[in-house]
Amino acid sequence: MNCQEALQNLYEFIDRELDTATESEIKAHLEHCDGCLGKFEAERLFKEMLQAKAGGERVSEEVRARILARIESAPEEKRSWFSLDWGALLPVLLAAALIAGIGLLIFLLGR
Amino acid sequence: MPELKAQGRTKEFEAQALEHMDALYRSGLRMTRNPADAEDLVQETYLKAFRFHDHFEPGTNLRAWLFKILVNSFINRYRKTAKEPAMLSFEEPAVHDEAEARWFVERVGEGEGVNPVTVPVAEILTQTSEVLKEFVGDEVKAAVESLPVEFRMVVLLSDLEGFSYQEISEILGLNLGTVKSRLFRGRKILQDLLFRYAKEHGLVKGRKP
Repeated sequence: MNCQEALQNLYEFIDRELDTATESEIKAHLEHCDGCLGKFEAERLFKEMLQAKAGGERVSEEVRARILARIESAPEEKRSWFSLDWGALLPVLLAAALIAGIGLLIFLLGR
Repeated sequence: MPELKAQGRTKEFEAQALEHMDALYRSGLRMTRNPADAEDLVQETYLKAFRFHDHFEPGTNLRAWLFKILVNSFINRYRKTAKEPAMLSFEEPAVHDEAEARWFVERVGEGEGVNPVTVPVAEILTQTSEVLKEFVGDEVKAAVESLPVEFRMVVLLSDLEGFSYQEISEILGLNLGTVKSRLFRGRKILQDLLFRYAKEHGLVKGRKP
């Protein structure tokens, strides 16, 4: 494996996305190529830094309690109704009202 | 009795789902950049997850399933209302493909005025670690949040939450190639942002004459 091929696989290597055969080819290349080793290691260190400094944050007890209370207080029906698209239902409701109105009119005229 | 059993299953599912609140909330925070919006987003995610929990196939990845709901809810809420502010101004590094890449080690080398080719690899990596050590969590989070949303999503899911490329492709509904290229560019933009910050604050010396 040459440097270009190794570098093309750099992120897949540090993200552990490669098959074991390609992985060991890269390891073999890095053992005798300091140029690539520096690039690979620095990217890995950068990824580790991101995880350590911007990942793993926990939600505060206060916020957790508030979210739980809000989920709890959403009643069963609401849980199933809230996701309805009321905008899409509007024409249906209007049509129903119109039919009811016409029905009422015919009924009243018929008397 | 079967009803009770079903209820037991639901409770168990809800308890398992709630174990992921830390990850959902912090990711919601990086997406919305606002604690109140993140809270709304997590609440909405759980209500949808509980309501549609029979769509979840037991034995598959619950965390990824919840993240998919989180991401979809985010996109629906915030994309529509165009709440996403204009991209912060920074020069996008030219990283259209790997051949044009500037690797982080090269930035550090340039910043420290050393040539990574002539300096022993151990030395330049020590310098890299020194630079990285200077970054503070709040700066790093702010930098992630300032990434354009399409890059922010993949960096967040991969580097901060540890999802695989396959999982990210399912969560975001993107093909694997797009996930890889966005991850590549996202990381390069992020390094550019953080490195500029480091230079401005004297964490690295800057190019020597």
